[in-house]
Amino acid sequence: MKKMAMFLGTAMLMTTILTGCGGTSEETDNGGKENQADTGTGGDTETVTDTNSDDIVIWAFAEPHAEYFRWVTEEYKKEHPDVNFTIEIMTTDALSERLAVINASGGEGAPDLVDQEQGFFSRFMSEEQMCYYPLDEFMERDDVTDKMVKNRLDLYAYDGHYYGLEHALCPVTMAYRKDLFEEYNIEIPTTWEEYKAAAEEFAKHDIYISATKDMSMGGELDEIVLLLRAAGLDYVDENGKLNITDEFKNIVMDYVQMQQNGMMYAWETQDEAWPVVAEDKVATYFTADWAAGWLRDNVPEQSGKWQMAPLPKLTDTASVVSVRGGTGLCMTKYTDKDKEELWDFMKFAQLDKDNCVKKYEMIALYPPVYDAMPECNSPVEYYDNQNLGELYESLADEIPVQYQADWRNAFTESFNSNAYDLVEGNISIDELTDILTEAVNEYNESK
Amino acid sequence: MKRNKRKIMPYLFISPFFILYAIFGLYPAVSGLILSLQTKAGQFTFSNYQTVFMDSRFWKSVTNAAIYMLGSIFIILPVALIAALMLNSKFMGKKSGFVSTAFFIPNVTSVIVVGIVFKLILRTNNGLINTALQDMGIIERAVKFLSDPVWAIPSVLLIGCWRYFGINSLYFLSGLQGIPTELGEAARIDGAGKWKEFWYITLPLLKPIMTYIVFIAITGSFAMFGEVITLVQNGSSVGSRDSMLYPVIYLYNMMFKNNQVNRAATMGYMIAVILLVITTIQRYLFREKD
Repeated sequence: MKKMAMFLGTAMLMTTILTGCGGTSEETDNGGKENQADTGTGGDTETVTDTNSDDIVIWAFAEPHAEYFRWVTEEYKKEHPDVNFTIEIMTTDALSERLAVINASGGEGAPDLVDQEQGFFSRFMSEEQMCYYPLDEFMERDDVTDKMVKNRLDLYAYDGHYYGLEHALCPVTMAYRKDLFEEYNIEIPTTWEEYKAAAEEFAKHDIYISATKDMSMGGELDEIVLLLRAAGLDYVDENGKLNITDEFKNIVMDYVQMQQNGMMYAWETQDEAWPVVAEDKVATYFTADWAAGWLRDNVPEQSGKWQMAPLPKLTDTASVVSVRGGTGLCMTKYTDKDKEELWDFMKFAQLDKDNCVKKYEMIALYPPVYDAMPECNSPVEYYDNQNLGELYESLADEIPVQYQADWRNAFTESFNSNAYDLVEGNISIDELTDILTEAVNEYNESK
Repeated sequence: MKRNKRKIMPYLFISPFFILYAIFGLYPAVSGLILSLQTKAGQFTFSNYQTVFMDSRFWKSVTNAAIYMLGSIFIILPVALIAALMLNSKFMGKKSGFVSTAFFIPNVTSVIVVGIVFKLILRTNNGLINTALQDMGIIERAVKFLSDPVWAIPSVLLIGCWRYFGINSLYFLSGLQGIPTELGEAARIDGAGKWKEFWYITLPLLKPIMTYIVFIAITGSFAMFGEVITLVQNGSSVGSRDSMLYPVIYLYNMMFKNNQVNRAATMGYMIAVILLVITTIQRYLFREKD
């Protein structure tokens, strides 16, 4: 009897352990109560919501986006009471890594919709890695390309198909200290040459033209690239091939020299920059719409001193606006839900004028949807009541396309790894470009 | 019937471990081995091993880990041993408990927090070390601890020293407390000084615990991840000239950033083989002699 009891006890213990090791039951129904769980990836905490198998599952990587989804799903449910949603938040890395693992294991546990950060989209740009469903048929039927800035859709295009609906316009313009420019009688630069001349002038007064990441750590390659992108000279060309131009080499060296000559403040950790900005030592800041609020958050005392202007042009034919960042709402190819139903929600969340305006009010993402733009144009107190929306709307059709390539990470890693030697003069910019070309070729060959 | 039950019962009791091990240990290991021997299309191949073997970045990561390992063994462990000897001395008395607890705190501090704090200590502009050295007039130009490849491994070693010397000193302390005091007394009666007592009695008797500590230091060096990721990796950075590239970081990047599952699995096995060779040498060097 005792032995039987022990046997049963052991069996129960095993069952408990093995059950504990299993994933979240799809049949649990606790009204969507949220739990906190450690992702085990990157050490960050993610919010996991117990899922009902009938729910439309959305993965998001940032709380502001999740905040919008929580609101917009409730709005959608008012018209579609039979549809339920589960929103899961995790870090950007965790989201991409989990998707990669799900993809490698045949799609088990895949969400229905994913808020895909554009920088990570290139990881899925191959036949075997593409985990998203092409939206071409829906987009054509609903004339999406007429409603949304096309270049923002191209960000999620691969092999002739569209895979995502962008959240934001992400225009990059130049924030500048109007008072400093006036005080030192310096013209607002409209070209890169004027920008460098302004940097020299400001340096005479111990003011940096801007604060950017230390080039010996790789610098802010993204910032350099946004200027190149505005000139149509991104190192990823329209065919996804490597395109290192003389302009690329020149601007990289300009950044190195401006930092070495004390014209540009070089930081290793971004939090170093804000005290310098607070001391009235920084004159300009290239910023996308979603980062324009960082100045307000970090140097609120400078309210009214900053203004926004078009970007300095790198070449004569360059656009005066660039683009940085972005997030597209994508549908996974593994979804077992009705794709028409999912598309209907995607349209509601990303294309509906009122919802786009609400999103701008909630989380300050300026919409890439034409008819929503005028509704978002209002004066911004921090920028001396300048109407930033009007500026963004006026530049919307000039926003350059941001091409994707799966080797971008290999390129950036190689650039960062060799930047120190470039700054120290151990290698020339031509040698660096050879190294970068080799890194990309090696990546492509290993695919 | 009863006899059969008696035979089965012990196996049932130990089965939970083996079942869990099979699911979470054996299955991934075998699966990884199969992946390492396949192309992306699933065909059998040895080419992944050839590719990794010829990959200079892989060997750079192994070299970094090996240098860090030597630093751990010859810097962190001696410091820990000295701390343990102090804790074990009569001088410390009842204070040793408090000090041991203080030593242990870095080990339970989150690696992310440690990375962030050391970033503040090591950075070029207004970093604690640079500011102190400049104020004392020792250096003129700030040292780029986070980007200068020469300083990359010493910087990580500094973190390792702070983080792991406490736990290692406690391991040593437990070893020291297991040494019979009579041996030391007998040696002193025979005229041995402090140094001879340490060299001929204490150190040889610490060999079993030292074998374990060195083993942990070796595997820890090759598994270096959190400290470095927090310290330098911002998106796609592994330090200047790959100075912060460690085997597990390279494996992780290969798998999750480059989507090279087969190559990442191969790296896992290559790292395992390298560790096996190093630990075999270590066991040989630390073997008990008659």
